[in-house]
Amino acid sequence: MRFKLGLQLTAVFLLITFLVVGTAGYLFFNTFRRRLIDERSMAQLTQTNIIASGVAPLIGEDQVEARQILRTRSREVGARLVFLDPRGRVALDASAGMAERHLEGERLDHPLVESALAGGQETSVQFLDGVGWTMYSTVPVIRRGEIIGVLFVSEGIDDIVAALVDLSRQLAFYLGASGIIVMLATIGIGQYLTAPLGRLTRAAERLGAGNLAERVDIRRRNEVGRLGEAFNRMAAQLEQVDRSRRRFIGDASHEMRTPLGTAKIVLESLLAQQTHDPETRRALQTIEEGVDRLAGLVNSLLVLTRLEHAKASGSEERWQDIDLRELAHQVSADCRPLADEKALRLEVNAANLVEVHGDEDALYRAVRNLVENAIRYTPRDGRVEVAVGRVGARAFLQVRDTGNGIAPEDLPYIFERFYRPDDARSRQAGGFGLGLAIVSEAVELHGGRIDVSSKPDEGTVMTIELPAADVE
Amino acid sequence: MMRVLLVEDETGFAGGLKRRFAQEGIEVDMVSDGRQGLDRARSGGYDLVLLDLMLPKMDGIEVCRELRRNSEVPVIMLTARDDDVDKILGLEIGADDYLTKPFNFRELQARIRAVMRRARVRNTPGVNEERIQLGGLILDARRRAVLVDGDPVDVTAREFDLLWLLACHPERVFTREELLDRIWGFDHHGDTRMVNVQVRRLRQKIESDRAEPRFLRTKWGVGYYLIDEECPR
Repeated sequence: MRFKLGLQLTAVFLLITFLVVGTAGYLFFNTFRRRLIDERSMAQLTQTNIIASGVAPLIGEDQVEARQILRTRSREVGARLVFLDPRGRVALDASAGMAERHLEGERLDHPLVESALAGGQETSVQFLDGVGWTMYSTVPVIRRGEIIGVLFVSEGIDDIVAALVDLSRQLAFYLGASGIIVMLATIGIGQYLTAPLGRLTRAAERLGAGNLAERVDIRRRNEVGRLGEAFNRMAAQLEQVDRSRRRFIGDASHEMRTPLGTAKIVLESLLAQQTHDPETRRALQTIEEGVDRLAGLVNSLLVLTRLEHAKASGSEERWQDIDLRELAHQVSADCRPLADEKALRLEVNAANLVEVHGDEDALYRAVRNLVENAIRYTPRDGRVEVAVGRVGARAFLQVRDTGNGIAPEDLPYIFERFYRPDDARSRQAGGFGLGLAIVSEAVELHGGRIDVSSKPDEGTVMTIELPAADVE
Repeated sequence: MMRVLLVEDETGFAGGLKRRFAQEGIEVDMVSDGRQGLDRARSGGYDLVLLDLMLPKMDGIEVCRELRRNSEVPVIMLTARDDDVDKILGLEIGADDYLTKPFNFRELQARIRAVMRRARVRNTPGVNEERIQLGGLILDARRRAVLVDGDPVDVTAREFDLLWLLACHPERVFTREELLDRIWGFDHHGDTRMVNVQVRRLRQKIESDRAEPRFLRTKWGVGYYLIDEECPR
């Protein structure tokens, strides 16, 4: 499976976008979180220190007053204030009465407490089940240079968490939005880049199939535009080469006709004299046969060149509505003398009107070549039948004979130019192997197809299939 | 005795053709360039002019066009090129027929017979103006009537004009372009399908089997012509 260039582009850009925006978002989020928590820690420590120095003189002197102050302050700052004695036991719990668990008298083992008893001031953030994110801070309570306990503050930081959740939501939104924008943009860019490439590919395929008039219209000021220009130049050059090849064959063939015409008429005038000895007469006849064969070759080459020209130009200006029945009858009338020579039955089977739109001369030659071939390769007393019919939008013309048939190994090549089966019979029958090439070229010109089925020594069926025309 | 003028610069060809004609008892005068050809043809007395297309001094097309200004002598073009057929047979040039080299003398004889007979039909006084009979087909110009084997056939004015034109030159092939120009006029130039349609309708009326027309025949790849059933084949 080949991946489309546009899709690959989109995937790569999306990956890059997610990496860059994701990393930046993560870094920003972390910085922001740390900053919020640091600020809050500083604020809490400052406050805790103020409270600690406020209660320090009362500890051990007026326990009631100390508890009262702690309660008041606790309510003011919205935090739980706990005072621990130097052994780490809770002496006062400012949330007493409102907390679920009253801690007074219990030991509170916490690293922060140890550190505060050693004179440190610290904070930490923890998640508590049923409470949420909480910030702890501890400061030593000092009186006259002596640590007399620790003030432990625990405060919910739901507001910080909410701010961070909000931030992360926004970041996710931006990440998603930029992903969508990048995706749309790259799909657009992909289309922009690959659409002309697709056109080029299709044009190259048609050019390769023989339509040398193929050009692309890519107006881009980039490499793709240059590629299009190069393609057009190449196609023009090919067309030019093909044109001069056709013109050469055409001119050469026409030039050959004049000397052939001279040879022919001189031979005819010689043969009309009755004075020759038999040997001379035979020699003259041999030369005349040669001249006729050459004339036939020249005609076939000219027809082929004309068909090629018609196909290359793609012009349907000269096309006519053609009655295939009339064509079949005309060809059979024109071939009647050939058939009579070999005592062949030549029949036309065309009951219904079948019309096609096409080049009259080309189709006449195609059908005539088929019928002549059939006559040529059918032994005496045989039968050649031309049938015309229509199925849906397809018109058929079929030539059926009771002839020698075509060997299976020759079948794939019979429409190639100058191909002749390598056997005595076909060499004896004459021809240059251009007849069926003309047929196939003429049928191709009309967008039709040709079908052959053949059984050696039983006969051949050649079927031309053309787009039918709707007339009347 | 028939008198033929052959205008041909290819001396070998001209000599061969002259000898072949002589064997049939026909004298042929030969000239080898276009200008001489035109002068000789004009000075008259010829029953037929055989004209090569490629000639020194003045080409065959030019000769034919000039000749047609004041002469009705039948002209058959001999050519090595067959891609100018439309032009040769066209109204402008006015050749009666053409033959591509190389050809059989028998083929040339058949063309000559047809062309000569046509000229005779055209030159019979009084006949071609009112009534033309081509075997089973009779055209009456005064009543604009068409008879097929004695039975009258209804045709439109345009169909009659088409038939009349073809009948005035039996066996002469008319290209669709020429028919269009002559019957429809130049403003329809290029729309040759109208000719097809008209021919199809006409055949429906005068032919018993359109697939095998007895009178109005197709010259495949060129155009249409009306057959002369009395013309020897």
